Amino acid sequence: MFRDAQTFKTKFTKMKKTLFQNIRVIDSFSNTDAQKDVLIGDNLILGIEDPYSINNLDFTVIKSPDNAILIPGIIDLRVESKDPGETHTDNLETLLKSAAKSGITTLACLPNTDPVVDDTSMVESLSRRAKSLNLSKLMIYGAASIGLDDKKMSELGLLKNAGVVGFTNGNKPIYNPLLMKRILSYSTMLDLPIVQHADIPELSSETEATESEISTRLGLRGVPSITEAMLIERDIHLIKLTKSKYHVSHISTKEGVKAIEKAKDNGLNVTCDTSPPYMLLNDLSLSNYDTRFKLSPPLRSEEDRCFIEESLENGVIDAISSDHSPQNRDSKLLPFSLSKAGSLGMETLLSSTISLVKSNRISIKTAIKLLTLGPSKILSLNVGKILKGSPADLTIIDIEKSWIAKGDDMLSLSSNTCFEGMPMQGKILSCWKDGIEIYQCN
Amino acid sequence: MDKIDYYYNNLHLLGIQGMQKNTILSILKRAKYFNDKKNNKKNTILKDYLVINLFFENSTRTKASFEIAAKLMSADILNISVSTSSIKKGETLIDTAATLNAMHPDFLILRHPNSGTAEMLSKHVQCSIINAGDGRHEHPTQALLDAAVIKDKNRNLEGLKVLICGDILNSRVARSNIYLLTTMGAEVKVVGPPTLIPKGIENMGVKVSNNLQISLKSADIVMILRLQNERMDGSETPSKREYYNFFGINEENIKIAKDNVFVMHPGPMNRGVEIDSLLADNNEISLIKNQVEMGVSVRMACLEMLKLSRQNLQK
Repeated sequence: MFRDAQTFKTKFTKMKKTLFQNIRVIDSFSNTDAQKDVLIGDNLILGIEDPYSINNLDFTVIKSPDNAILIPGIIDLRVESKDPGETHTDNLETLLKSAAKSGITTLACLPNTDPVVDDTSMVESLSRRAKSLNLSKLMIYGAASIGLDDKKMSELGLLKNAGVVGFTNGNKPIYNPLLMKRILSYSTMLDLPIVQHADIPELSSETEATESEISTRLGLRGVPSITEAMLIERDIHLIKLTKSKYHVSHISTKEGVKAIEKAKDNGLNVTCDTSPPYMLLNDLSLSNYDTRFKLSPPLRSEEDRCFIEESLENGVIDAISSDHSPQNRDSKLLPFSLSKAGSLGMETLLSSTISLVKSNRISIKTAIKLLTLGPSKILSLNVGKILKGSPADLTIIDIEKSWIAKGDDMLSLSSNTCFEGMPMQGKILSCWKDGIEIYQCN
Repeated sequence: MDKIDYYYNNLHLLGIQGMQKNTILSILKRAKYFNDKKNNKKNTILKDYLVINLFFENSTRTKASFEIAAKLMSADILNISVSTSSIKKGETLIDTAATLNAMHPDFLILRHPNSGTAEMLSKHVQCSIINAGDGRHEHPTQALLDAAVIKDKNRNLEGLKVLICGDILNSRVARSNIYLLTTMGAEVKVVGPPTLIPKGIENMGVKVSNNLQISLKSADIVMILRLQNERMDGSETPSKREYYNFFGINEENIKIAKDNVFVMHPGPMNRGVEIDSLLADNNEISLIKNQVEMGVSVRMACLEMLKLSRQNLQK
């Protein structure tokens, strides 16, 4: 389906200074939540001052609506790109436009494209293409194993030199224990995180849901939710041994989060993120076999969901990622067990997080931190903060506006959102990357 | 000739670990004597002695070096390599050793792919065993010849900054060199990818690093280790090109080290992997040929040392 893109101002223009006048600024790095004037220019944030204290005719002054909040550009740690390999499902341009529309200024893509990102030429090609589109910043994870086959280590060092921000087997775990030990050990000299999808293939193979009363009633094959913690705990022993940097992506269970919490208490360099489906939905959603709810990891119990929600506020979970995974219509128009797992996530990332703010589950400060500074720290990026001298990657949001999630309205070439038809809270008004407005809501 | 004393009272040469400083110095001194052109003639020190080279692994230089050393000392030498031995027929190592022992050799030069084999055999034979490399454990004559080459270049071992580079995990040469160099008061640093640095190596008295560029600074001697091909296919390191990129030593990055740095390699080399060809062949920096040359003299000294220690022990 062809959709008209909204206003994308991607042309290079001679940089003029821009002043966001008297706008509410929420920034976790400086622990700010106050009305401010923010001046940007030359790609950077030039100043953050009290309202109306910056005056000069040389600026383009942007007066924002009353409800507007200026936050650092959102950083998304987990995005699946279908380009190259499956460009009828999504391509790099639609992906980056979706990101801009979602207020995401930096996104990290998984290496499970076709061909796999296990070679420096893939990193260089993707980076160059993304740069030429001049939309959100594309970060790339390198494949931890060659061809993601969990047998042999990829050229981690050369991939780092080409610019990758971490290593992962994508939507498969790094499972082989000897390989994992060697990868963790080797990565210490590169100082990049190993990103894990915590699963045990033998336990989850051919399963469709979390093992529970629900899966039993529905007749779906279930994977025990403890599977996630089993792999995390094994990994943590290896982290202790190798003193490496480790991140669990889209964590979804109580036991998994507890394992991370214990590792953190022991001073290990371990972080984790979760994704909106695991914050807002549980496996009751599967009751009518709607394939939009087929995800990996599968939706969990209400007990798990509640624990995930609590762990956002108490800081055990470091970030919220969209877990954006476009799947074309055909791969979802299948019996539940045969359909592909995954949901679009970027366009609902902010709103689903804000909905927890509106229901008083988390504070607005926590929400913003989990979307900006949290993920930035995990990948050691220089963004995610509103600080003089930092890149002017900014997003303006209105958390009072509500809308209904519709896959067909999303910019991806696919429309598989697990939030289809659900009310969403909070909209992106505009998105700025390196001082250039890359998205503006009409 | 002065009376020679090696200060050694062991029947076997199984490793450098535990070897006294004065023993090492005596071997190096005697090796220098044997290496001197005017003493480089056939002598009769081992006349009527039988030396058996028992090699369970491929070797060119070590085997040849021992053979030449024995021949220069007028010993009779028998070479047995694994492909021609009865091991292939299913005989156990102990049986093979017992069989050979029954032929009353005086020296058994043993190379074996498993660590500890030399020590095990030493308990089952009457002759003197020289460990010519056992698995990942020790290769004492290599460390001794490396030290002899360094001394020959008028470098004092005490305070010398030696960088051992590469596959420390699987290297017997690294272990023997670490024992020898630390005993002699050298400052040893090992550098390599974390996957090839064994646990607890720092407790052997060495510094550890994963950064070649930084480690090269202030190095007097750079010992480069061979990285076996099967370790560079994504198992312990990702690939040859990545290894070369991060740990390969060439004429460019060697400039980071001290001006009068020397480069050593126990051989055989993987040119273009751990060492660049131009550097390997640069005789002003590379001591690789000197190492091979010195090998014979050091092994002559070791054979003589064991002959004398046996005589002393039998008194």
